[in-house]
Amino acid sequence: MEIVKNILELTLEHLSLAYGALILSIAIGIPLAIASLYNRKLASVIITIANLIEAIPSFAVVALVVPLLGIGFRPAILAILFRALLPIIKNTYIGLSNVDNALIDAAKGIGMTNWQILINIRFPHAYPPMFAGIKFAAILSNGIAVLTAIIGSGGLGKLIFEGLASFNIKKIFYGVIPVMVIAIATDYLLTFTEKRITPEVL
Amino acid sequence: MAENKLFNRIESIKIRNISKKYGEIKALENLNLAIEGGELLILIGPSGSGKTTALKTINRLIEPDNGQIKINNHDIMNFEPVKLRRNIGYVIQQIGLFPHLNIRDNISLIPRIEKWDKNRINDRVEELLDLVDLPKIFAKRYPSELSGGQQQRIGLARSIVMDPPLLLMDEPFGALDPILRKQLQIEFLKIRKELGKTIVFVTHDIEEAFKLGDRIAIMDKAKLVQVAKPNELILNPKNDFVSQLVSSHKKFMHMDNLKVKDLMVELSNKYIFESSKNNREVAQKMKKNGIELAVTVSDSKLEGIANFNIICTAKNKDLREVTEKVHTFSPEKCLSEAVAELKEDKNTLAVVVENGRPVGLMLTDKLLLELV
Repeated sequence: MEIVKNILELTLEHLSLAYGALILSIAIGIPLAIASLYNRKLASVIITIANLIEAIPSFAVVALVVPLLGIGFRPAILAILFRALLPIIKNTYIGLSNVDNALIDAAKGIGMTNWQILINIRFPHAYPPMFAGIKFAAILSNGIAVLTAIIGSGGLGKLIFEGLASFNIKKIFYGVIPVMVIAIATDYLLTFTEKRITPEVL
Repeated sequence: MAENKLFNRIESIKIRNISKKYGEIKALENLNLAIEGGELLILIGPSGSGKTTALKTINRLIEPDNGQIKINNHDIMNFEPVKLRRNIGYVIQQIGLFPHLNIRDNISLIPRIEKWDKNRINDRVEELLDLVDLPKIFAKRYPSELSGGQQQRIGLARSIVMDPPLLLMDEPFGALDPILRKQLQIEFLKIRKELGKTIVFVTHDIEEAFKLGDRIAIMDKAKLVQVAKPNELILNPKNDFVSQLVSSHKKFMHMDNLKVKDLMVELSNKYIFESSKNNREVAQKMKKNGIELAVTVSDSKLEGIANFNIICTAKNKDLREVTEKVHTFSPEKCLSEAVAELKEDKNTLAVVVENGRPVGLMLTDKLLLELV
């Protein structure tokens, strides 16, 4: 029973780590994508940084956080945020900016404000790439949340690393199985949400 | 939403000396144009002539570098762009229906933003579908389920949902195949009559311009070349460019746009004789002036015509007795109709009459020479 309680506690920790970082990334990433839409300089800076960081291995990002911010839960959140933010910004920006010019011209011409065009025209068109970005970010978050156990974030990674260190296969599975369940559930949940809010014809 | 109406009717649109440059490229150079309320003005010219740029300055989608545009004597820069655009309908070639919204939501996007109640929106959508001759069930369909022609009709319906007094149309039929285009032009003329709006219409199709336009503004290389009624353009093209564009050397192509007065022979006084005159006197005068035909009047009003040979054979009679009835036209009559009437009556000659007085002659052989 002790082990079940332990697994549940660590799962909860893992969830708050991965999802906390994911939600933060969405909360920061989407406004940044919107801002990039109206500021070309910002857009080019963000896309360049995004491409750069994507090239760095996740493990290196986790390691990099330690000399800058130390160890523990919060530095771990930042490490995940760092990786998860970029696919969200990039995909949302691409989705928002790839709307046919004629549609924007028509929307302006009939008297919609930039904000109304964003909400009514650009976002519905941006949902598919935006959700692809969020899904990718969720997979990354879940994966990096395992890795960050190394820098003391806690969570299911702790079980896995302990299991590996002591060659305790049972312990490894106690860690790995919930991580897999979380990954599959997240993907399912996001796909479901995407289908709910994306207009059928797009 | 009366407070959102900037103007109920267009009295005039005055475009004064506007210019627009993109880098070094001039898109508009000192454009001056006055549009009258209720007219359909065509902007025509080759691509890059500035016609679309000119159109878009009217709803401030493009803001000129200098110059001024006034609608009903209000500088449009004093209006909020979004508010201005809700008072001006806008139709584009690509139609620009939003693919993720059904027809009802496409048409009612602005009314929904302005928070009309649901019944009012539904009524307005049905009314507009009816106007553009589409069944009500189309309200629930998506743009991708409609043909190009049907989509363009929805585009028109969407543009007038707020009942704007002014409509800007940027090559609305440009993407349609020729047969469909002709059909929509005819329907559009019908709808236009019902609506009574002021319309500025961009096209590159001169046939379309002649068919739809009250006046045609011809643009070339960012400048306005000439603005005039269709028949004036054909008869008095300002330069070779206009003449080429309107094919003014091939007037037969423009029978529908020309009027009787445009190609009649003006009647000089020497042809006109009082019908009470004696034939001997008339014959003498005709011989002196070398004319073969007398147009007889009584109290300045047309009586008919008389031939020199017949006058000579009845020298003791009055002109009235040898006067024959003649076909008459008003100077404003459409030339193609006039020619058709002459053909039907097997006539080669008609007198053009204004307020009862003869003012000109229509001679079929002369006409033929003018037309080709």
